[in-house]
This record gives sequence, structure tokens and C-alpha cells, in this order.
Amino acid sequence: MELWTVGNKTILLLFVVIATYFTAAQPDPWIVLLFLIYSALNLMLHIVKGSRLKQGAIVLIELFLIGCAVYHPFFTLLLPFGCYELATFYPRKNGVVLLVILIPLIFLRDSMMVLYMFVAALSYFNYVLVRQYMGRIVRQEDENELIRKDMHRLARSLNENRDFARASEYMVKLEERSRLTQQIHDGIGHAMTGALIQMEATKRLLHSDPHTAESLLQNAIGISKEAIEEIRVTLKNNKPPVEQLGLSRLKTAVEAFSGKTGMMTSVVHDGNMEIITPLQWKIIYENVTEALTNSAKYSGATSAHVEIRVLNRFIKAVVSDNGQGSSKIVKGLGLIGMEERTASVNGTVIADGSQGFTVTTLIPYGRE
Amino acid sequence: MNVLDIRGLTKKFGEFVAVDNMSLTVREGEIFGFLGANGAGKSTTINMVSSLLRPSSGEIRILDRDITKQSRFAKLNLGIVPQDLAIYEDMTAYENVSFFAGLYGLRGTQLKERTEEALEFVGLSDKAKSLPKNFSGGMKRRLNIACAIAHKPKLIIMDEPTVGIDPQSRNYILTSVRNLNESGCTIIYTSHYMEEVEEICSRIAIVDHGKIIAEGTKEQLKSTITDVKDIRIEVKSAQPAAAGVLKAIPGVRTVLQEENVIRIHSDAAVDNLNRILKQLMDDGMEIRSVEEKEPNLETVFLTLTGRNLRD
Amino acid sequence: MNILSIAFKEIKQDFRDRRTLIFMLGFPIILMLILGLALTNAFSGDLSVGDLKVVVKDTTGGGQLSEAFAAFTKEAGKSGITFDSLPAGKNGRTEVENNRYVDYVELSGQGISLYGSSRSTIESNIVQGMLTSFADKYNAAAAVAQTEPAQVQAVFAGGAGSDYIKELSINANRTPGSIDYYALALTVMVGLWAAMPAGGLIQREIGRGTAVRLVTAPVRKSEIFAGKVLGGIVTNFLFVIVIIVFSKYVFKAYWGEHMGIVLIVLLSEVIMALSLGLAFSYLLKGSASRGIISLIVQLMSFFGGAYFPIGDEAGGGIMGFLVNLSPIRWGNHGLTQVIYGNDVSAAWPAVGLYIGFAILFLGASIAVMRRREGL
Repeated sequence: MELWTVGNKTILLLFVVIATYFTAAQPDPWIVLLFLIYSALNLMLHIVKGSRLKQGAIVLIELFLIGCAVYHPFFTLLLPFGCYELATFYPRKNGVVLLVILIPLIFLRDSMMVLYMFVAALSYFNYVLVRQYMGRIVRQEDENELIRKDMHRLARSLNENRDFARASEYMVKLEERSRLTQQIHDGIGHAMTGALIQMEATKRLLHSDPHTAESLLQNAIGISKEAIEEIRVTLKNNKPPVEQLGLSRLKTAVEAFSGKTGMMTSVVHDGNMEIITPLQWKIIYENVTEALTNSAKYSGATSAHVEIRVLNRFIKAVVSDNGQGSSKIVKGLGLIGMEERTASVNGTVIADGSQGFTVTTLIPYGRE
Repeated sequence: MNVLDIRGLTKKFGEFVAVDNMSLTVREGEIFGFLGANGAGKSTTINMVSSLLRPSSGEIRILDRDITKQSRFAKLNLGIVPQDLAIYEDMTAYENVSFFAGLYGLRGTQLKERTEEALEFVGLSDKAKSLPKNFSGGMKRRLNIACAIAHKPKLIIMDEPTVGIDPQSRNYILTSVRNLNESGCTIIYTSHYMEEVEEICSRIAIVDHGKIIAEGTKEQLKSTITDVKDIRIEVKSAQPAAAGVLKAIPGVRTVLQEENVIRIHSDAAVDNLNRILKQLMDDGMEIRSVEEKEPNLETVFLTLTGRNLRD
Repeated sequence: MNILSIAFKEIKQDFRDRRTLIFMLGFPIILMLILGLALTNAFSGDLSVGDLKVVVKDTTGGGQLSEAFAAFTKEAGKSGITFDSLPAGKNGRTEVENNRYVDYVELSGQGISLYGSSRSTIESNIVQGMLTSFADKYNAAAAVAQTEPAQVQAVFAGGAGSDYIKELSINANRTPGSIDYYALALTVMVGLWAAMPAGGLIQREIGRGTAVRLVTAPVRKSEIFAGKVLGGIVTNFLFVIVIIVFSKYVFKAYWGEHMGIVLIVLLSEVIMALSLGLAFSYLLKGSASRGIISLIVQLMSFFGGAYFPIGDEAGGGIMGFLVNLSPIRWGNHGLTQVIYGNDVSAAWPAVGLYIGFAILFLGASIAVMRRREGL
């Protein structure tokens, strides 16, 4: 800002110097003195610190210029700059400045008036423009600062969340393991122990009492058969069905998201979930979690809604939030990733920001 | 032959993607409907086809020739009816049509004949010498069409040609679209009036956010969300045996009977309502009301995108 | 062919636009009448040649040139131009600068030098014109003297003084009256006004939606551009011609002997104005450009002296600079010399300036047009 003003001032000063000094028939030493004083005052303005002092210096310069103007009218041309400099200390009063700088017009005549008007208008636009740019820079710096803080906070919470996720994953695994151990211990363990005891007895009786040994062995075989059957049942019971895997995995993920961010979430589904293949589930899962993450990051939403519907020819997965949305969507990496994933199964992703933010994944599927 | 072939067409305005990797084929003799909300990317696509905008990427071919490499060929075979009126209000109807047709290389008596023919076609022959200033909205729209057809293009693109006009002019325009199609023109018709598209288009693409989300005949589009229609018939004195008889009619899947109300689920693709009603009447039942719930394109759009066409 | 049909359409539309017609033709003619009648006094007297005073310094020390010049001054004196010889110790140029004389003529071995006053251009032009024809004649005589010395006298005797004057049209009572001044100034202004509709040349097609049809037709963008520019030039030049004819035959304004040259200057001005308008409409998108163009044109008209003569009194300084910046001033200045000074060559600088700027503006427009999508 300062550099700009100084540059403009210098240009105008040069113009005034040329107009007054070099065009005059007789070189006037007094004018040289006045110019030097003006330059000195301006230097002083840039040397002094503190807004009071600076304002004082500007007022001094302006008074000096008014004095000079009486001597030579061209000095009025330098007046507007002081006004602008003064105005920078009082933002939001652009109109007043314009009025103030128009005051000298009353005292000016003819070509001088036109010239002054020209200079005043030109420098005014210059000043307004510079002000605007300065404002923008300040705003952007503030924004930068905010973003930096945000990043810091997010990085920290990311770390915490990661630890938490790791811990809970471990807990779940432990629980699951102990449940399985229990089941194996309770059912198969007992049966196998029984079969083993009977087989040990058979070994002893094999030569002395083959008949009893045979019945004992038969017994052991029966127990083993049952045990194998039980293993099969246990395994079958423990292996979840595909659609349950997909939907419950999705639900768990959405609930975990809700717990992590504090957003209200809901998951509804409609239609025959069985026709969704594991690959399609994978894509839906990834798109939904990505969309939820985006909602939490950008939209300022307090709730998000997930809907999975199987239509006649399409599988539709929608994530919608109640955030601010956006009228024009700029595709980020997240959205492009979703599109690419979905395109691999001939599907499309529509992002809409008209009422909150909605990401719809449409995947066609062939019937028959 | 494919009249229009679009491959991977994309248009970006700054960071905003207006048309997103769109691919599309229009075959000869079709009336191809382009259905989508305002700002869905229909007009941007059409503007690229008519070389008003340069694609950011992708390829457009008209009659199997690239429109950037052989733009003169593409333009000669293309007629545009823009969404906003594109006529000179200070030139007579005749002068308007003749001027534009002249740009397509028509001269002399041929120019005169074609101009008269085009005006005749849209029913403005008797207004040939009048200035469009004094025309009604519908007449201006018709002149707008005449300006696009005098050079007999193979492909005519109509961008919302019926916006804001009276029902009579609208019917006139829809009829002329059909007539043009019968005379051998392939037509691309964009609209956000679902009924119009449903009425005249042989194939339809639903566009949203610059992408085609579904494409096909209207029956195919409807079947994307369901292939069942719901028929509810109220009769005066139902006979208990009615259900069994109805099940024999082709397309009928289930029949539920609750006193005097019969509810039928049937294949949407099979047109069997008349047979069902006839059967009921033959059985001596007096029909009080019939309600048929069939998905229309509006519901297709709503189901797929979650929004209304006219949001 | 497409170019012609687009140009023809353009002309047809322009002539059907009643408002533009009134503005482009009616307004200047009425203005011409009002200003011409109201400001008659500002012009009469001032410009009568009786007031012409020229100071002469002869350093040849007698001889043929000096003699011939003496004869010339005598003849010129009859039509009211006084030639004073420079008093010793005075500087001829300062005399002119101080406005005591209109011109300062120096005769030397190398020939005749003329220092004119910028304050009284017209008077200065008259003297300049006379001197030019004198010099021509003198050169002829000198050439004759080398071959047939006996005939020299005949060359001078044949013409005598009245010749110089006749060529200058001074004896025809021809001083530019107010109507003459405004006929010229306002015609030049109307030529510049071509910039205003030109601003809408392309914009109008876009506004009407017809740009879509033009671009989708199998016509190159350059053809559309050329057709529209050509149409605009023809229309606006026709306006200019109508105003000239009207002022010449109805108001009896004087347009000089070189109508062809006058028309060439005005044509080049129309081309320049049109390019200016076009360039602005391309560089500043939207309807804002039209406002800015009409503002610029009005300022140029004002500074160029379309409403009242401004240039000569302003002298140097910022005003003079602004005045010289106005294309109206270029045309006015050149045409005044062509019409009243009989100096055909004065037209070429104006034509050159106009065509130069026209090329500049057209080039800028074409550059922007090629990069832009659509029209």
C-alpha cells in the first residue's frame, strides 16, 4: 500500500514539477525550495512512527500545500493524496474523502479545474482499488491463519482417533476370539476328550476283549462324527451372510462416524439387498464413507442420512446432509475417486448441492 | 447410421464442470429427448454440438464426421432452434428466413422456394411480409423454427422450443416436430416438460449435473425403477371368483380383493387395463372407479436423483 | 458472397431503425442550423483577410527572388494583406509569438521560410497557400530563366497578382461563416459517431440471440465480422454523405473544390470510428462498453470543437494536448486546409492517422474475436 502511494505520489510530483518549473519562462527558485520542503515533509511522514504522529505529519503537509497553492495553483494537484493517506486511518469513509477532495474545486478556474478534477478522480480510483486489494490480502491472511489452525486441530484429532480405532479393533478381536474359544471348548473340546478316552480304552482292550473294543471304537467314531458336524455348524453360524456383511459393515461404519463427529446419522434400506454383489458393496461402502467424511469436513452439517435402495435396474446409494451445500460444485479428489470407482461397474455419481449436499451413487445391474 | 455421436464430451467453465464425460449416440430417424432440470448441462451440450462452445475434451461427430475437422459439413447438416428467440424483429418473416437460408449457400429461385416452403410449413405464409414485432409469442416461436429448417438439415436441434407459449401454439409445434421427423429429419429435443418429451420422443436421455444417468425408450426408463404397475378398481358388487379369472390375463401378477376393491399388480410393460375392465364387466360387475399408478418420467427422475425436474 | 449478404442485411436494418436515423441525421442537421444561426457573430469579421499582417525579412539583398516577391506583395496588398518588412533589431518569430503578426516570412538564398502562428490557423493557412502558389510560379519562372531568359517576364506578367488570389478563393468572399464551420465540424462528428452503433454491432446479435444462428451457419467468423464491418461502414458513410449534401444544398455551406478528397478523409474517419467502437465492445464485455463509447465520443466531439471552435484559443498546455488527441480535430484540421487553404496534401496526415488507428483497433478486435467462443 505504502509503496503504491509513494509511487503514485512521485509520478504526480514529477508532473507538477515539470508543469510548474520547466514550462515557466523564468525558472523560479522559490518553487524549487517549496518542492524540496514538500519532499522533506513526505520523508518525515515515512520516518515517524505511530498513527498520531503520522496523521499530524499528513495534516502538516496538507496545510503546507494549501499555503503553496496560494503561491502557485499547481500545488493543489498534490492535495488529494494527503486526503487519501489520512483516510486510510479511517476506513469506511470513502464518500467523505471524495467530498473533501472536491472542495478545492471551488477555488480553481478553467483548465486548472479540469486538471484538478482529472487528477482527483484518477487518484481516487487508484486509492479505492488499492484499498480493495489491501482488504483482500488481509482477509486472505486471516483465512490462511484459520486454515492453519484447523489443520493442526484435525491432525491431532486424527491421531487420537487412530489410536482409539486401533484399540477398539483390538478389543473386538479379543472378544470375538474368546467367544470362539468358548464355543470350541464347550462343544468340540468335550466331544473330542470323550472320543479320546474311549479310544485309549480300546487300545488296552484290543487284544484281551476285541468285542468290547469294537463297540468302544464304534462309540468313538460316533462321537467324532458328531463333533465334526458340530464344527461345521459352528463355522457356518459364525460366518455371516454377504448382504449382512455389507449392510452391517456399512451401518457400523456410519455409526462409528456418528460417534466420532457428533453428527446425527441414519441408515435406511429398501428392496432386495441380496442382489448386491460384494464388489458393489465395496464400492457403495467406500463412496458412502467418503461422502460422509466430506460432509463432516466442509458442509457444516449436523446430520447425515444414508439410503440404500435396490430399484428395478439400479442400485442407488444416497448420502445427504443438511449442511450449506453449494450452488456450483467443484470436483475435488474425493469426488473424482468416487466417480472412478463407480465407473468401473458402469455406474455414475451425482453430486448435488442445491439442498444440503447430496451424493448419489447409481449402479446399474442386470436382471435375469 | 448415427446422426450424432458424442464421445467423452466434457466442458469446464473454470473449475466448474458443466458437462462431465458424456457419451451419447443419436440414430437416424429418431426424436431424441434430452430431459433434465435447468442447468443440468443440456444447453451446454447442445451449444458444443452446434459449435457455439469449444469442448474442453471429447469428440463430437455428425453423420460420422468430426465437427471440428469438417465444420462446414457439420454445419450444413445441422439446424438449430435456439431456446431464446433468434430472429430479427425489424425484418419481415420472409426476410428473416431468406437471410439465414442464404447463409447456407441457397441462391436465386431455390432460395425463394425453400423460404416459402419453410414459412408454409410453420403456417406463416400469410404473414410473410409482416414484421415479427407484431407477432404473438407462438408465431415468433414458429418463425424461429422456420429459420432453422429452410436449408433442409439432416439433424435439427430444438432447445426448449415451447417455453412460455399458449397451448395451441404448443400443439402446433409438437405436430410440426412430428411432421419434420416423418419427412426424414432426425431431431434432438430438449425440454424440462416431462409430458412433451414423453409424448413425442422415441428415445430419451435423462441428464443431471452434466452426466447422462439413464437412457432408453420411455418404457425402458420407467422399468429402471420398477416394472410393476398398480391398478385399483372399485366395483359395485364384487363377485368372490373375480380374482381367479383376472389372474389368467397376461401380465397380471397378483390380485387382492377386499370387499368391493380389487387391487392388481401387473407388468408395467403389458397394456392390459382394457382386458381387465372388460373381464370384470363381462362378469357382471359395475365399475365405479379405476386408478392406475404407473411410474412416469417425472417419478423416474425423482427416484434416481432425489430431486424434482423443476427445482 | 456471404459477406455481402450480411453487409446488405446490416444496412437494411440500420435504415429501418427510425431512432438511429433521427439521431444520426436529424440531430446533427438541427444542431447545425441552431448553432450556425446562433453563433453567427462569433465568426464574422474576425476572419476577414483585411486583418492579415505579415512581417517579412529579406536577406537575399535584392535579386530575382526579391523582385518577384515585391511584385507579389503588391498584388496581395490589394486584397488586404499587409507585408511589413522587419525592423532592424527585432526577432520575427517573437513578433508572431506576441501576436502582432499572423506570419513571419524569411527570404534567403535557400528560398522562402514561413513561420505561422498557431493562434490564428486559418489566417496563417491563407498566407501559406498564397506563398505556396507564389513559390510554384517562381520555380517555374526560374526553370524558364535557365532555358529562355526572355520568357521570364511573360510568366510573371501573364498571371499577375490576381492569380494567387484566385487560386486561394479569397476573392470569392469566402470566409468560413458559422454555417460553414458547423457543416464541417458536425459532419466530422457524425463520422465519429459511427463508433456508437459499432459498439453494438456484435453485441446486438448476441442480445437478440441471432449470434447463435450466425455461428451455427456454415459461415466463417471472419466472414460475419467482415460483413458486419462493411455494412456499418457503408451505412455510416451514407449518413455522412446525406449530411454533406443537405448542408451543401439546403444550408448552402461551402465544401470547397475537392469533394473527392473530402470524402476520402471522411470515409477513413468512419472506418476508424467503427473500428474504435468495435474494439471497445470486444475489450469491455457487456453493455457497459456502449456507455463508455458514447462518453468517449462525446468528449472527443467536445474537445475536437464540434460544438464550438476550441482548438486555436487553447494554445498549448493540457487543453491543447487533449484537443489534439481528438480524432475530430484531425479531420477538422485537415479538411479546413483542404477546403479553405486549397491544400490537398493536408488531407493525407489525417487519412494516415485514421487508417493507422483503424488497423490497430481492428487488429485488437480480431485478436479478441478469434480467442472468444461463439461470436
